[in-house]
Amino acid sequence: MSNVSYSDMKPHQISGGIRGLQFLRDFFAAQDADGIRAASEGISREFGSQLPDVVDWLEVEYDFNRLFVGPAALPAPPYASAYEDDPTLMSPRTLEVRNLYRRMGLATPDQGSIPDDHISFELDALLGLVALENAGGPNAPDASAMREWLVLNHMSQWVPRFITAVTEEDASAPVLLAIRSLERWLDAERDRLADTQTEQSGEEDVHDQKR
Amino acid sequence: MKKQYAFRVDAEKCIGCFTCAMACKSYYQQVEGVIWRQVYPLKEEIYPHRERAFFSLACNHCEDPACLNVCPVVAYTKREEDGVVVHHQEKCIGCGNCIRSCPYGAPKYNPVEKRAEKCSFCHERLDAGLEPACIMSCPTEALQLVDLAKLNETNEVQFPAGYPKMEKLNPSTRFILPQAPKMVRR
Amino acid sequence: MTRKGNSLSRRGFLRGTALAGAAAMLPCGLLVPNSAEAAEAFNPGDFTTFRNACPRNCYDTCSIKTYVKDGVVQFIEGAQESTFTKGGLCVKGYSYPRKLYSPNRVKYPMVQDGRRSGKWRRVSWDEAMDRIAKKILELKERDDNLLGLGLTKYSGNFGITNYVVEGMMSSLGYTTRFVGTPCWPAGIDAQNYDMGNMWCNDPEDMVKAKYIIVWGANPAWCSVHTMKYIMEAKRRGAKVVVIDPVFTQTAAKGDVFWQPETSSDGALALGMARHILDKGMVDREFVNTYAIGFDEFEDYLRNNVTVEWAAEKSGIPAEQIREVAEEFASADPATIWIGYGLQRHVNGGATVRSIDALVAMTGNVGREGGGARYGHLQTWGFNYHAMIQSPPEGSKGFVGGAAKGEFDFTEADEASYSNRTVNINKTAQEILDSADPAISMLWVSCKNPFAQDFDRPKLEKAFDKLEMVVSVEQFFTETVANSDIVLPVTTLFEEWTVNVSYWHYWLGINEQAVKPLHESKSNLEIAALLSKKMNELSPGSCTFPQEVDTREWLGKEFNKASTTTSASATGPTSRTDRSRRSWHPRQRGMTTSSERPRASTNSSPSSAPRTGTRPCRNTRKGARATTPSACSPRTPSSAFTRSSSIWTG
Repeated sequence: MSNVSYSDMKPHQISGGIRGLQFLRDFFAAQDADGIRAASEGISREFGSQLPDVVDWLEVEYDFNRLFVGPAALPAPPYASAYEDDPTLMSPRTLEVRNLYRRMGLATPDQGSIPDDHISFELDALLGLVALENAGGPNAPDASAMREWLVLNHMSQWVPRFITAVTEEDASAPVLLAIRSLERWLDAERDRLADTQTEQSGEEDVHDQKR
Repeated sequence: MKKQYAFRVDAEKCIGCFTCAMACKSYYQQVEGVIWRQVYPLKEEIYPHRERAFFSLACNHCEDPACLNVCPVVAYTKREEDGVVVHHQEKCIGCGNCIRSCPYGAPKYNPVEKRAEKCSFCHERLDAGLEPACIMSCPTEALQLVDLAKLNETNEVQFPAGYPKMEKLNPSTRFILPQAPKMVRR
Repeated sequence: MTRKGNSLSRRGFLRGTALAGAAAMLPCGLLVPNSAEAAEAFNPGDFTTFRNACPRNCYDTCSIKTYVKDGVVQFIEGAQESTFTKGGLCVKGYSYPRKLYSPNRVKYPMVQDGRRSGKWRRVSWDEAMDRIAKKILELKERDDNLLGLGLTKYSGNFGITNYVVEGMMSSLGYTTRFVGTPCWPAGIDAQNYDMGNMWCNDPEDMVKAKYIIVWGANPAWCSVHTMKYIMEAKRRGAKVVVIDPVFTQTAAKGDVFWQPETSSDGALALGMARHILDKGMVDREFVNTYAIGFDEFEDYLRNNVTVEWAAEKSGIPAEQIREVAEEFASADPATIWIGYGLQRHVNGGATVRSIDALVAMTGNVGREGGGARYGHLQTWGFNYHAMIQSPPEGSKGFVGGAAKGEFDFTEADEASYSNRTVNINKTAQEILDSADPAISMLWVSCKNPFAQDFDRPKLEKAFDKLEMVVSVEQFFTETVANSDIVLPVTTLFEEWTVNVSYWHYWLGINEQAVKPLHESKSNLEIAALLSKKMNELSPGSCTFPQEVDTREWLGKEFNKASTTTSASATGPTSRTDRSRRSWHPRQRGMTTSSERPRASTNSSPSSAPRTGTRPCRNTRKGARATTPSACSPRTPSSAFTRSSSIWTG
């Protein structure tokens, strides 16, 4: 997957650019201080926001784990399904993005272990959809529709609550930078889609899945 | 009498464990605030010991249901074959008439769907030859499925104390009243 | 069907959309090409069902049926095939899917930089094992043995394969074990003294009782499924007497509730016995045929006990004691359920023995619908294959007579060394007192000492003495907060095992229903991983297999499947011997009688009653000769047969 050239893409379509989105994905998927640092520096660059001069990245790692990883109860779990009224992972929210990935021909590695609606997977799928859209061709309209659905119908349902959950905590500067960048990206993406949307798809057939 | 499925709530056997309510929620995963079945401890005026006797309540699947009568869009039907009162959520417009009219509080407002909903008696399970989730879950067999047409009523009560006496609706639920032991205290 | 509102499927425009062949060209770094068919994703109504079993330390040990779709547990229900569980669980059981899918589970192996600091770092399983293995090797090097490594484990997951935790320790060498039971030892001792074995009636035969005394137990809260048998017996005319210092939910279901002074139960039982004696209601045929020492017991009662004395001690009026005693003696059959609460007292053992005597002298021991019901371990006759592991050659350990650990059969090896055993009920003090070598490393599994062990303030101090604490957990407990490393462990839905009850006679298979979430692993897999790392760092330092098929290992707990593998691991003990031992509680070290024989005899209301009955009989009086139940409702082998349909199906 890493051999894809990003030069063909149109960065203006995404706040922070394709690379910004990629660094956001990597940030939330980071496993240690080095990963957090690399992603944070990328976010800082792409979104044009300054990191503090001196950062104790080990402390950032502790903070990152406290918020997003564990082992204690998470103030800001990075999964869509954790933001439902009754937070349980692997909920219909999880399965709807799994379905989306399937339609893209993708799946999470070791599907069934890490929930499919982890924010990094969703951002990764979005990167894929943007690439397909920009590549043009027969898949572009479907990719466009999927992107719209992912942003407006899925991510908009939970990412703002996730952002709020983090900002209510006394989070470290790099975490806040990532969260603010995520917020900027989501806002810009929603604005863009609102502009391009010609008609709002109705909530037709709401009950066809019930029992 | 036509077949009428009903809940038989045996408060003599009920231990107030809430399993029936949990089984319902676990099976249907209702959104927050929507409860189809709930277990209510009886007030001390009704049973002398606090939180030691309970009624497990859901929709009573009335003979003449208030919900059905007030619904402007015919979202409620009463099944011919077993008297189960079914709410068809796809027809519901969320007007709230049923919620205001049911004296037993069975229909609830679903804030996500913006429509009403209520206990279905698990009619899809009944049709598959299964017991409703709540009845199946009850560890003490205090909650049972009965057909009023066949029930040979002995000590069953239709309107126990604390339960609205709505004779016109003719709710199908039947109760066995709780007993209290002889107390020998130190 | 059950999960409501799937917003994606509502959107018509996505329904036919599939980006065929697009995956290969996507710039996705995390998601991988999906090998499955990218067809219509959801087929509502299609569930795969799995068998699970509740792993709690609970009488009921429910059989669970789990409905899975899309690799996700959708809902669970009680298995209807078990006449005990009969389609229902309890409110906690129904919440298990929420536990499985809780956003707050321990998800990854993590290392804490400073106890209680909250400064956690995520590490790979490999790194976690590397740290652990190096510490173990360090201790071994320093002390010339592994007694500095302690294990504290109890009943947090009663799945039999979880005894692999003990097995993992054995495969490393001789270690220090926290042994004993914080739960029910006085009653076990009492029943062993009195009946030769602890072997309760099948709770399902309680419907046949004509008189039931629920003594110090609250099944409405603690064994909900047994309530239906009690209520059915009541419906059939049995009288139900509940004795408890608290007006429990069970008490509300009885005909009579006695609220005696706490710890006066033994006096009450003896008072009832005296009255039965005075009224000439003793079952002489029974005591003459089956009891030992009844004459002495009779003398004891006449010389030391009066109904008035019992009334004074207990606060229950003498008139009441006489009435219930007479009713109990004349009911046929009559039974007493002896709860665990009343034996958790300094006179606990003698209290249980007094009640045993009451049941025996009325001829109710060994009767269907009768019995002094306390609990049993008759269905626990597994191979304990996962547990029985040999130490590496040349291992050194504790020298001298160590108390036997739970399920500890290592004596069969005739080794000169053994594990060092310390008292599970004194965790903090034992850690602080340990020396030569001191306990320096602690492995915690299936247990939360900070919530469950005594002396919480001292525990913190004791843990601070330890150089490394490893907790194997599902959730962030206070013990995890006091650990250096936490390892995420599977829930019942994510592992293979088998569960049995200490009350009813069903066996419950526990199938893996879904993939383990996050990076959780079963205790079996953790043992294999540790062994791999140990052998990598120091070949031969751990005898545990480095690869395990957990389903296969479950099979090895049963006789048929064990023939090829158990011999090498267990030394000279024959398989038959082992399984026989394992269901003999005294040899299993379930009691502390060998350590403190006076605990249950010297602290009776006055002195211990000296009655006893011979080990149970299966038949008595012609009419009951064909009844299979008696006091041994089912042998372990027949219990196995009973559930074998679940196992093979």
